[in-house]
Amino acid sequence: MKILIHSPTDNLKHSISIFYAIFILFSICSCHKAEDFIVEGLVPIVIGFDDDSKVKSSASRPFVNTGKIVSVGNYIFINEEGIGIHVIDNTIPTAPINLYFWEIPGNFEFTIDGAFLFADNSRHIFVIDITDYQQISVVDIIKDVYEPRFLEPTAPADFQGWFQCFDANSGILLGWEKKILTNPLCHTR
Amino acid sequence: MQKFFISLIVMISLFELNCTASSDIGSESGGTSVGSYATMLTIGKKLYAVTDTEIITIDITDAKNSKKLDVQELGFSIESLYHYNGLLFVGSASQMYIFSIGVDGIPRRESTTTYFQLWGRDICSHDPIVVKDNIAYVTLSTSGVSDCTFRQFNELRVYDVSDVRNPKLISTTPMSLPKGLGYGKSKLYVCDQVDGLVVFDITDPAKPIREINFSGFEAFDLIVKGNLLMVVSAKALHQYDISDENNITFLAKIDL
Repeated sequence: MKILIHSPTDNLKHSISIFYAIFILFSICSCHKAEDFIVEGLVPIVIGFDDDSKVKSSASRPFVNTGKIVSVGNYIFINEEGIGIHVIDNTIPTAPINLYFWEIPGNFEFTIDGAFLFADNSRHIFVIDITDYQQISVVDIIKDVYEPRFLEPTAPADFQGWFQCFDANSGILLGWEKKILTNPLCHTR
Repeated sequence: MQKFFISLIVMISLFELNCTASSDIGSESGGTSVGSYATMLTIGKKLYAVTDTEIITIDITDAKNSKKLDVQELGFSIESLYHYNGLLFVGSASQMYIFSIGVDGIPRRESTTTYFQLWGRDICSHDPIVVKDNIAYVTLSTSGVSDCTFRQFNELRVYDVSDVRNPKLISTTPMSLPKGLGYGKSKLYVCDQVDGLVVFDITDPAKPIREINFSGFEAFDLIVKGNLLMVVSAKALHQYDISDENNITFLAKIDL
């Protein structure tokens, strides 16, 4: 920093200093603005691990990425990884009926004991009353059994571009929605 | 650094996890049959669950008010839990753990069997376990990609577990890419991602003899229930009538 003392030559220095000061100030401002990278991209839709409001029995759906299997009586239950459980009526093995889909976001592991389904949501185990397969309800939560799985920051397969990173500890990933992003850190490969 | 390593292991096991398989007769509890890749079982009024690193006991006497009774650290990359005759068999990527269940319902570790001596190539296997007549059948497989840097290994292992504190390896049979497994009266059924459903004769339980395979699909998961064999692949359910195990009849393949 210069101390300015008035003299003919200093006048010139003074002007130059002011010019520099303005220039620096201007560059800081413009620099700051230029650093904000704004782009349309995807934002994860996340629900908390304690939220059991999405657990329900709904219409059957096709198999996409099946996991664990359990059978009770004439029924077969097959996990759809991270999403829920297919309920299949296998009374006639040559013609099984894909009956319902139990939506349990974050579910990979499960077992059934009588009227109760024990199913994880990647952190807790939900105890679910399945007396009526069409109308299921969470009756208890056994907390903090699992460490949420380490998931790669993924975006829908048909998507290319920037997205807001997903932290598996923040909750369960339900899907993605389009939004305007400021300085996103994740990009598809 | 350790955290990174654990994350890496978890990631690797996650990549491999989209193959699931299973079966059993031994794991039945109250009419429920679970696959050999199961990680949750109920026995009496207890729910046993294995996580990546632990075995947990939960009292479900009052299901609406379940209580965690016990948590034991085991290791890492734990993948399967199997019940046989008051014993719990836990499969991890590198080890088989055998627990007895005490009168209080809490598992007590009897033994730990390491599949491989060399650190490093352990972490990439899958190893569901089923047990029949004191013989444990274990499949070990690599997912066939770059995560196994040392070598690929895919095999069916047979252990004598009559002494739970000292399981003995009896035999090793090479396979293509074995996954879950289960058994009927005299046959062992093994899912294989390359060969489909592979059938072994286990009239002598200690010496499985490979007989036939039903190929043409990537078998992941199976359950034997009485005379019915249910095999799951990624997008279909295949069922077989095994009332005559020497003449297994294909019933139907249902795309779901």
